[in-house]
Amino acid sequence: MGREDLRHGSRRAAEAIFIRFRLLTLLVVASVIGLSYIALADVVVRVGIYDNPPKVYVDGAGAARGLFPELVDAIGAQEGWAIHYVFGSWTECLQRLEAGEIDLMVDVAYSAPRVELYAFTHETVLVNWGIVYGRKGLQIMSLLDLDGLRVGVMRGSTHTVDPDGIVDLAQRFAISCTFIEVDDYSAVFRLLDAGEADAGVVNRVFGLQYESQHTVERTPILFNPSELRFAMPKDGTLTPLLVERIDATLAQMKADTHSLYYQALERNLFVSGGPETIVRWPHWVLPALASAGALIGILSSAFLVVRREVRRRSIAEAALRRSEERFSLAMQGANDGLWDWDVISNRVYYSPRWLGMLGYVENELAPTIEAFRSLIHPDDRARVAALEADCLAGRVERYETEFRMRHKSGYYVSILSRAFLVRREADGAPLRMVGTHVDITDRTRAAHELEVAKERAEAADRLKSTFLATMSHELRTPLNSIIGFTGILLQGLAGPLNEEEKKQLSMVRTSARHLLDLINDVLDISKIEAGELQVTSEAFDLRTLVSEAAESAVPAAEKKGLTLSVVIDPRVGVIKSDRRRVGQTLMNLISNAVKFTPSGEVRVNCRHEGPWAVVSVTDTGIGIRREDLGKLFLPFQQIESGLTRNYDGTGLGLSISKRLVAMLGGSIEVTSEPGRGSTFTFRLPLQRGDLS
Amino acid sequence: MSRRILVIEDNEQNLYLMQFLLTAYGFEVDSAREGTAGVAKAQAAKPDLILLDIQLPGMNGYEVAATIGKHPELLSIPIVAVTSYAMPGDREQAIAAGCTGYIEKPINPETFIDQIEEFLARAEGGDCSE
Repeated sequence: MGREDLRHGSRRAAEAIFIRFRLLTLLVVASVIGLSYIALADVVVRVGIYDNPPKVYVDGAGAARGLFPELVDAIGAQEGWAIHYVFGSWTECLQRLEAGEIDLMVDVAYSAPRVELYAFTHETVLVNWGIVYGRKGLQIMSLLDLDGLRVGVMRGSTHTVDPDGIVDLAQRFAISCTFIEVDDYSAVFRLLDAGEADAGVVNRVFGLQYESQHTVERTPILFNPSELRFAMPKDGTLTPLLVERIDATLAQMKADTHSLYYQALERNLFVSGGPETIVRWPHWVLPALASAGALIGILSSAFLVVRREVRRRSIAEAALRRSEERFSLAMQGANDGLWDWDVISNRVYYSPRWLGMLGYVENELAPTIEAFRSLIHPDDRARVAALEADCLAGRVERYETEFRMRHKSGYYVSILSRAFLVRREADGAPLRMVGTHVDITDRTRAAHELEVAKERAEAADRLKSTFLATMSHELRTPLNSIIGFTGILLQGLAGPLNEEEKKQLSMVRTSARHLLDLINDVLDISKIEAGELQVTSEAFDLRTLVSEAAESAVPAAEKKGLTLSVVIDPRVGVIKSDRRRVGQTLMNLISNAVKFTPSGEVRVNCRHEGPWAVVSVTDTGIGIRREDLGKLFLPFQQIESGLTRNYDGTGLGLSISKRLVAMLGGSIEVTSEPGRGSTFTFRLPLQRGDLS
Repeated sequence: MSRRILVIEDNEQNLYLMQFLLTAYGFEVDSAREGTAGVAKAQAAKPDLILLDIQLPGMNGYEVAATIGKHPELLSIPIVAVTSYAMPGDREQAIAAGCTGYIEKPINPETFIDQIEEFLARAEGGDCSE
C-alpha cells in the first residue's frame, strides 16, 4: 500500500471560497474574544490515517475512506479547514502524532497511558472491543485456551499493548502464548489463513466486517472495550481549536439520529457484504436518499440495530467485568493467596502470597494440582478431594473449607480455602478452578485455646456437681445414724432410760435435726446457685400436703401457746407440681410464722384463684420493717441481727422458698406491719408444664 | 411366720441401725454390704422386701435393682430405695430401675417401721403401681 501524503482531491472552487469566508468570520469573532489561535493565517489540518477498514482506509483511487475520514471531511467542511491526510502504518502515525508532524489522528483508543502522551477529544466516535479469532476448527472458547498457542496481534494496538490488552491479560492469567506482531488487522487474519498463527486479535468492528473473507472463526473472547476518539499532539497549536470544534460538532451530530454521523455509521459499519459495497457506494447517494425520505426507514432500523448491538455489548461487557472483578477481588485481598487451576492442561498458577504462606517462592513448587494436593494434611485430603470433585461435577458451584497444609519447614499451617469453578459457556465443561487461601493458623489456635478453656470450665462444672452430690451424701450418712440411734434409744428399744438420759438424748436429737436442716438448706441453695437443682412435675393432693405441713408445726405452736388454724377451700384438690418442693416451701412458711410469733395465732389459708393455687400464711408476730422487706429473700439474711440468737434457722429458708416457687412457675409475696404481724402468700400454677 | 427383709447397705452404722430397728419389730433380717452379694442373697433368701441403698461401691443401687428385675422368681419382691437425694433425679431413676418405692435418708426411727409395713401391705395386695 502506498505511503505518500495525500491531498484530498475532491475539493471544489466553491468550497475554497466558502473556506475563506468562514476563516474571515472566525478572525473577526476571535479578535473580539481574544482567543490564541487568531494568529493562524490559514487552518490546515494534517490528519493521520492508516489502514483499518471500515473505520479508516484508503480506496483504490488513493482517497481517504471510512467512518473517520467521512466525519473529518464533514467537520472540516463545516469549519472551513483544509484537510491534509497523511497515510502511514499505525505506529508511524503515533510517532508522527507525538512529534507534532500531524495535527489530528483518527481512531485512537482512549486510555490512561495515552492520555499522558496525547490530547483527546472528549466525545467518543465509537466503542470497540478486542476480539480473538481462531483458526477454523480450533474451537477456542476461553482465554485459557490460548495457552501454548501462536497469537497474531497488531503492533502497538490498544488491544495488544494497553493494560487489559491481550498481552497483559495473558500475563495475569498465567497463559503463555507466542505473540506474532504485524502491522494491521488484515495481516492478522492473513496469518490465520496461512496457518502461521493459531489465533489472532483484531478489533470487533474489523472482525465482523471481514471474518467472512478469511478462514477464521470468531471466539467468545471479547475484551478491552475501547473508546475510539480523535487524538492530537499535547502541545499542538491547533489542538485547542480541534478539541473544541470536533467535540461540539460530534455532540450535535450524536444528538440527531438523522445526522451525518449516523449516516456514516450506517454506511461503514452496518452494511453487509464487505468493504467493496461501501467503496462502490457513491458519496452522494445516501444524502440524496435522505432528502427523498426513503432513508428514514433505513435509519430507524439502523438505529434499532445500533441499540440491539449496544445492549448485546453491554451484556457481554457486564459478564466480562464480573469475571474480571472476581479476579481482581481475589488478587486484592492482601492476605489472600491465589491459585488458578486450568483443569484441561492441569497447570496451576500459584500467587506469590499463596506460595509464601507455605514457605515457598516462585518456581519451587511444580505448577500442578498434584503438588497442591500432596501438601494437604493426610487427614484432610479425602475431605478436600470430595469437595473438589463435587465442584467439578457441578454438584456445588463453589466451596469454602478449612484444612491444614504442610509448610516447607515441616509444620502445618491452617488454611481457609474458598474456591469456585469457571465453566465453558457453550457446554458447561469445567475450564478452571480458582480459589483463595487465607492463613488462619492464629485464628485456629485461638479457637483451640477457647475450646480447651471451655472444656476446663465444663470439667470444673462437673466437679462442682460431683462435689455437691458427694457432700450431700457424705454429710447425711453420719447424721443418719446419729438421728437414727438417738431415736431408737429414746423409743426405749435398747432398754429403759431415766429422765435425765431422755432429756439429754432429746437435745442430741434436736441438735442433729437442726444440723440436718442446715445441711439440707446449704445444699439446696448451692444446687440452685449451680443450676443443679431440678424440679419435677407430678400430680398430688394439695389439700393433704397443706394439712400435713400445718400438722408438723402443731407441736411447736402448742409449745408457745399459739392458735394454728387451717382453712382450705373445698375446691382445692389435685395439682401438678413438685410435691417435695411445694411441701418444703409450705413447711418453711408455716414454721417461720410460728417461730417469729411470740403470742396470738397463725392462720393458713388455701384456695384457688383462676389458674393458680394460692396459699397464705398470716401471723400476729413481730412483723418486718418496710426497709427490711427488700432483703428478706436474700440468702443468709435474718432480719434484726440482734435477735438472731433468739431464732433458730439458717437464714436460707425464705431465699430457697422464693427460688423454688419461681422454678415451679409461681411467686411469693409478703405484706407486713412491724409489731402487728405478716402475711406470706405464694401462688403456684395448678398445672405446671413439664419444664424443669 | 415372720417376714424376711434383705438390707443392702454399705455403711456399717446405717446397716446396724436398720437391722436393729427391724429385728426389734420382729422381722428376720439378711444383709449385704455391696451390690453383687446383695443380688446373690436375694436369690438365696427370697426375702419379702429388699431395702436398697443407692450409693453402693461397685455395682450401684440402680444396677442392683435392674439385675434383680431380670430374675423372674425375684420379680414380685418389692424393692425400696433408701436415698439421700444426693443427685437430681435420684428418685425417678430408682423408680425407672425397678424400685417400687423409696425412703428418704436419714431414716426416721419413729416412722421407719410404719413405712416398711405399708410397702409390704401394698406388695401383698398385688398393687405395685398405686
